Amino acid sequence: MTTAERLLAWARAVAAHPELGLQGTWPRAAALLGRQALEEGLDGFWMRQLPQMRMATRATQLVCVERFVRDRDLVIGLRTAWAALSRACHHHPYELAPTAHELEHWFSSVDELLVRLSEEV
Amino acid sequence: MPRAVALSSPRAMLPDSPFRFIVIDDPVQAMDPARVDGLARVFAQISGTRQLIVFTHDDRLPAALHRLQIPHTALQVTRRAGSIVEVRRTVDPVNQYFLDARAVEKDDSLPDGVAARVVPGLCRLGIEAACMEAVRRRRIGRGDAHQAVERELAGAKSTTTLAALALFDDGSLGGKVLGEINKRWGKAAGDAFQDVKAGTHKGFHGNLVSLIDEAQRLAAGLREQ
Repeated sequence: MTTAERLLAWARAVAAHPELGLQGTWPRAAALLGRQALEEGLDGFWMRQLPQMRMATRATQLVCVERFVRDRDLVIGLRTAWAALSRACHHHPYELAPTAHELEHWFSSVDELLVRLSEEV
Repeated sequence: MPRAVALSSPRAMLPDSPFRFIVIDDPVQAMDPARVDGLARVFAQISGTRQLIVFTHDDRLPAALHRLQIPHTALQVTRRAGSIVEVRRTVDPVNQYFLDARAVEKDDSLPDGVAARVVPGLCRLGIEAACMEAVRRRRIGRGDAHQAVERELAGAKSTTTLAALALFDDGSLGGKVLGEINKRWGKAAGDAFQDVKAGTHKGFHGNLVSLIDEAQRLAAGLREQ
């Protein structure tokens, strides 16, 4: 199991399993872990494509990534999932933490993106 | 007085009303931020003679109650998949993030490694909430329009920008934030600031309890700016 896959598995576990505790904290914890999973996947991609890109900000990476992948849907998927998860990882006074449904939607997307990123050589 | 409260409370507040409680659903939604403090004061008055139960998804009401030191009990409701509902008592947003960070650090049922990945992000959220509170209190206190303050806070996309707003009242001075934190609260606070930012993305593999302690101390300092 890669680090990205393990992080995504943890993200899903803390959201789905009340026996792990984290009462009330799980939406933020899951969002933090889910974003880390996506970022690990991106780091692995840049390692193969252009290692110095890992020094750039994520925003820059997500602008530049379209030059490196042929799959346009993958680019849009990465930007959408990262933006949604990032929003959930910052404090916004007028917003609730993400719901279980929203989280699972993002995690499914990250799951698919990780596979497609690993296929881009 | 906000319209919804103006309509409902006088009837329930009549001396011969059989109802000794009032339930209000989401009174803050779509409300001009300037009115939230006023609403909190109305609630404080009502709660002298009635049990008042308010539902909201908006942090501004709990923040106003905390800022105005209005006694209240805050309960957070979260719903998991399958409609499993969890209810817990919470405190103000800044301290709640640090309580959560401590709870995650202590939780033995989590797989090894989860706490190191989650605690820094919760600490960073606490620091962000503290900065927002400081900026809001200062700017609203000097008469800035609530909407302008909220717009500026919403536009601050990074923790460093928020800290620059809290410290210097200028979000463009992010480059001076770390030096200022080191100067005011010592290097341990500056290190914690860096560690929670980096750790939100990569996890933190040092002593988590010290990290939470330092980050909370920093948040308390930033909050008072």
